[in-house]
Order: sequence, then C-alpha cells, then structure tokens
Amino acid sequence: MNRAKGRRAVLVVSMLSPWLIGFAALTAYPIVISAYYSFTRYSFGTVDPQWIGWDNYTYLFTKDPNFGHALRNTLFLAAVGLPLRMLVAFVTAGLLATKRRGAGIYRVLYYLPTLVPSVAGALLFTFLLQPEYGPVNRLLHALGVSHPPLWFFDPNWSKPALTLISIWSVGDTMLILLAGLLNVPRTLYEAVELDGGGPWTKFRHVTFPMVSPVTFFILVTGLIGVLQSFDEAYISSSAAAGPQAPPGAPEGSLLTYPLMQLNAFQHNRVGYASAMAWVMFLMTLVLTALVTVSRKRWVHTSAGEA
Amino acid sequence: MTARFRRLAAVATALTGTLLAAACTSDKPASGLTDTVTEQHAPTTLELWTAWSGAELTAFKPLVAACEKKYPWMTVNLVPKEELEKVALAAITAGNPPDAMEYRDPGSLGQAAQQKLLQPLDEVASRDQIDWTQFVPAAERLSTFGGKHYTIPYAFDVYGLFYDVDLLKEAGFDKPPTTLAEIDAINAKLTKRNADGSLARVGFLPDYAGSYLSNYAALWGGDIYGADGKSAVFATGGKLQAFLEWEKSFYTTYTPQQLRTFKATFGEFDSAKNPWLAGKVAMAYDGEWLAAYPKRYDGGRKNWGVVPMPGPDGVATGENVTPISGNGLAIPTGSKHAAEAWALIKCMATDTTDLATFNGYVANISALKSAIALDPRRADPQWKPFLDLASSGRAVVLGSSAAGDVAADPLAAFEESYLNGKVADLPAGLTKVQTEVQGQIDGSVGP
Repeated sequence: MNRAKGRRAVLVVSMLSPWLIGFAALTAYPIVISAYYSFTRYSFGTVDPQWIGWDNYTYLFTKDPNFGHALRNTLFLAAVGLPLRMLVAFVTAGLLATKRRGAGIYRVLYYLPTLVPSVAGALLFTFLLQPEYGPVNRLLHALGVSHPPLWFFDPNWSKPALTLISIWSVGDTMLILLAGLLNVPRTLYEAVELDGGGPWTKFRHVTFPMVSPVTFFILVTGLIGVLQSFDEAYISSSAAAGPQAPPGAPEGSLLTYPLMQLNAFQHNRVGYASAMAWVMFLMTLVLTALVTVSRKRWVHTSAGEA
Repeated sequence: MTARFRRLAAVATALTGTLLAAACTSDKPASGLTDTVTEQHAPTTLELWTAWSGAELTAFKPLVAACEKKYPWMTVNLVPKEELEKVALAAITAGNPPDAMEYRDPGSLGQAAQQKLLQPLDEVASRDQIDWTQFVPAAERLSTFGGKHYTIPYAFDVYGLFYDVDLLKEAGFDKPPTTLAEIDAINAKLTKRNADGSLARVGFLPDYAGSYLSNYAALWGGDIYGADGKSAVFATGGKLQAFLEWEKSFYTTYTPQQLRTFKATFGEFDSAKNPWLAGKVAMAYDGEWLAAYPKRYDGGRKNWGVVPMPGPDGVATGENVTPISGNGLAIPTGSKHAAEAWALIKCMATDTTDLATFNGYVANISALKSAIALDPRRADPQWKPFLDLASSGRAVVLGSSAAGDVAADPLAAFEESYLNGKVADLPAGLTKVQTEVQGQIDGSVGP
C-alpha cells in the first residue's frame, strides 16, 4: 500500500469513527462481554465477576424450574399464535386486494393498531378483557353467555387473550402481504380462468406460490418476534394479577422465556441472564435456519434464482 | 479539500472519544465516609436520590431543608428517581452514584451488602455516638445485614387486620377476632352469594390483594432465610406449611374457580373500588397505607377499626407479631461526598418534628421512637393501633438473603399452584422450592 492510499484509509476510518466507536462501545462490546459474563457469577455492583465455567448453562437446562415452562409458553405462541396471525393477515389482505372503492381507508384502518405502542395496546386489552367491567364480557353477557372467559385471570384463557392482541396488531404483516398480492400479474389469473379453474385453483396455483417469498419473510420475522415476545405478556400479566404476583401470572401461564430472562436480570443475576440470552440467540438461530432450509420445499422463486 | 476533511475527521474522532470517555469515567471522591465534617465546612452541594414523587416529594422537602438550615454550608440537590434502586444500581456500577440515596427495598439489602453497593455505617455511627435504640427495634433491624448497618431508618410500614365494625355486628361479633377460628366463623357468617351462586362478598380472604406470603410467614413464626442470609429455610419447621394449609381452607370452602371469578370483580387497589373499601371483603390483612383510603376515597366504610392480626392457634393474643417493611437512607459505594452525605442522612433520620409531620402526611410510621411519640395520629383511634404495634416489641422483620429476595417469586408461584389444587404433597413441594431457591442463592453468591 502506498502512502496516498494509507492516508486515505486513515481518513476514511476517521470519518467513520463516530459510528465505529459507537458500534464498538454500544454493540460489539456488550455482545462480547455478555458471552464472558455468561461463564461467570456476576451481579452489578462493585464486586468483580467470578469464573464458574458452564455452571449457569447447566443450571438453566437441568435445574431451573421455569425453563421448561417458559419454553412451552413461548412455543404455544409460536405454534398457535403465529399461524393464526398469519392467517388473519392473509385473509384481510386478500379482501383488501379485491376491494377497489375506498381501499385506502380500509388499509389505514387495519394498519392503525400497529402504530399503537405495544405497552399501550396490552393495557388497552387488559381493560377490554377485564372480566367484570370490560366491554367484551359485558357484550358476551348481553348475548346470553352466562360465564364468559376470565381472560387474563384464568391460566386457560390468558394465552388465547394474548394471541388476540397479536391478531389485533396484524397491520404490518397484512400490509406486506397486500403488496405481495397486488404484485401478482392479472394475466396468471386469466390463464387459470381460461383453463376452467375456480377460486381454489387460483389460490393454490397462482396466489400462494406468487406470495410465498413474502410469506417466508413474514414467517421468519414473525418467528423471531414471537421468540422475543415480552411486552404484552409482561404488561397484561402484571396488570391483571397485581404487583405481588410472580412473573407470568396466572399460574405462570404468561411466563415467556424473555420474561424469565428479565426476571433474572431484575434480580441482578447478570451472569445467569447473560447465559439465558445466549441460549435464546442460539435457539433463534437454529429455528430460523430450519425455516430457511424448508424454504426450498414451498417458496416459489422465479426461474434461475436459488 | 483533504486538509479540511482531515481536520473535520480529527474533530469527529476527538468528539466521540471524549463523549465516551465522559460516559465511562468518574471523578475521585472529595471525601471518604470517615472524614470529619466540621461546622465551618466549605460550601458543598450534595445529590440525594429519592423515590418520592408528586405531593409526597413536596412533603419530603422540609426534612432536607431542615438539615440545610442546620449546616449552612450544605446545599442539597434532591433528585426524584423512578425505579430508584435499579437506577442507583447502574450508577454505582458505573462509578457515578449520588452522594446519598433513599433505600426502600429491605428485601434486597442483603444483595446490596453482598455486591458492596452501599457503605456500612457502623464505624461513623459509633464515632458519632449514634444510639441505635432511639429507633424502633424492627425498623433498625431492617437496616442491617450480616450484623452491619447499611441504612439509617426513617419510615416504615406495619401490617394489621382491618375490619368493618357494622359488618362484624351483622355476623354477631361485638369485638374484632383474636383467633383464626373466629376469623373463620366471621367469614362463614358474612359470605354472600349472587343469584347464580358466584361470590358477592366474603368475610376474609388471606390473599385478597395478592400474596403477602413472607408477612404471614412472620406471623406464623417461620423464617424465609437463615440468619447468615445464605440459606433458604422456609420449608423447615412446618410454620409456612401451617399457614398455607389454613389459606388452602378458603380454597376448599369456595372453589378456586369461584375465587378467581370473585377476584376478577375487584377494582384497582388504590381506588374507591378497593375490595375492602367497596365491602367485598369485610376484613383485610394489610399495611397501614390502607388506613388512608377511607378518607381518600370518600364513600362508605367509615365505621372501621384495626387490630393486630391473630396468629396461629397456641399463640396467645397480644403475643402475636406484626411484620414490617420500611425505608432508610444510605450512602452508596463511590459517593463523592460520603462524609457530608453522612451528616445529611444522620440529620434527617433524627429530626423528630419533621419526621412526625412527613410520616403523617404519607401515611407511614416514623422509625424514630420520639417521632412516634409526637405523632398527632395518636389521638385517632383508627391510627393508634398501628403506632402501638410499631413501638411494641411485637413488630418483627424477616431477614434478607445475600442474593436478594430470591424466594419471593418461586414461593408465590408455588402458593398459587397449591391453592389451585396443583400440588399433591405440600411438604415435598415446599422442600423442592426450597432446594430451587437454595440453588439460586448458591448461583448468585456461591455455596
């Protein structure tokens, strides 16, 4: 490298330094240090971390009574909540795609809930679904349901209630799907019609393959979102059960993995919480990889693309 | 062009570097805790963090102002902080703590001691001949861990049994209950159901506003942690188990589903719809803050009283205890003006007149015996029992663990499962939770 090139490299690095230093100090360093903390007994304070090897990890997998529980709750949200959410997004987008007059207004209306901060949304739903005073149960009463669900007060109904929130804020997913649907060339549908195919054939052989790349995208981002789902569970659980209740009340039915991790962090078990964060990262990586591998089987790509 | 760019680049690097350096470094302390502070001191501004806010913060200010008057060199910058202990934890770890702070989470005091977040005050306290017996014994014990004082107490809470005089009369009782059997009897008489069989009112419900498991444990004579703060002991001795069995009797008198439906009808705790205030429970075991509610939410519930909560059978009335929790003032590790801060918190915690006024306003109890004696609420029959309980030897404190109150959540979760019929073997279940909690303590502080 000659002198001029060297000077230029120094100049480029200096110009980038505000970002580089910020990235190094606020992103790279925390990642590295959390990996180190995960092998230590460490709490914030003025006492140094103490190396304990794999102890945090073995405790998490073999002894922590909440681990299996939190995993099951999170998996419920992934296996039931996420598909439901995607289905609703698909149906809504499908309806909006066919609508011509006033479509813009409907799009805005369906998208609006996405703009509500998740905490506000969760609080809103704890009010709507309050068993005694909430409008939902009052309506159910009026419709003749004598014992409407207790929602966030009942371990059997708390997760379905949580799923309702995620369906309500389906706007962003719906909008992406809608863009995908509107991009499907009309000519393909006309071709099916000429061949005598009905609506199902159109969906099966045109719509679904054409929007499958978009579906893949929302599946991956949705999965990552569900694994990290925390705000709604945290807010609705503590709003309904009161401050003395253990995290994820009632009966731990809303204890998601991130909530359990927050709990360790709040109890200042920094080493342990770091180990949990890394396990979460690896779980996300594996699940995303599995979905990506499955892509070959169901995601349609234009000829020539991988 | 290049020269100008180079200069710009250099400025950018320098600026980011300086900002980061400023964020990561801290100044050297100007004084250590044991330094002496004379009357003729150089003007010093102290930062004091508090969790009080709004009108309560306004009521807190005279306490500070009185000390500024006493020490003319002292200016106090009172900073209200939400989530005080957590924010302070971050500040102490980063080496930028306030000079002094309020500490109101005695459950985590053991952890604060273990992680060296607060400075032990014993050396300066004995130098300045602080007489710890001027404080209510239980409040003083809340300030200690492992035999050392980490805070100086100034306010605390006492629990008692609130009852409605008229409802008790309706049940045929002229006097408040003194035994658990009487509570059960009153409960049976006062239970009212709606047409569809759901509960409209109960006489008593141990967990009416969530769980106060450690309070009941104290009442039953059981400990949560061992004296060293490094062991979990709640499953040993059968005390907590005995309480849980009594609590469970409410879940068999009614069904878990009935109680779930009933609790869902409770309004916000701090509102006119508070279940005790609204008459959904005739008796409530709660802290003295509840005594302020009937006036705050002027609606019904005027004829009420408070007595010590009866203990388990075999414990005579008058010998049963009342558990407490409370607030103290502390000097964090790394305080820049520790000696001056000590002068401040010592002054605040021993200011009889202002403490009496302040605690009267926020509906707490003063930790200072002389302030309790001066408390105008002595004349109020609904407040007197609390003040009596507070100054009696019957007020007790449960110890803390060196890992913080790690038992609270697992115990509350276990209690919930047990009450809802998901635990077949109570002693075995409790022992299992104890082992888990022990694992958490060991994981945080080492076996």
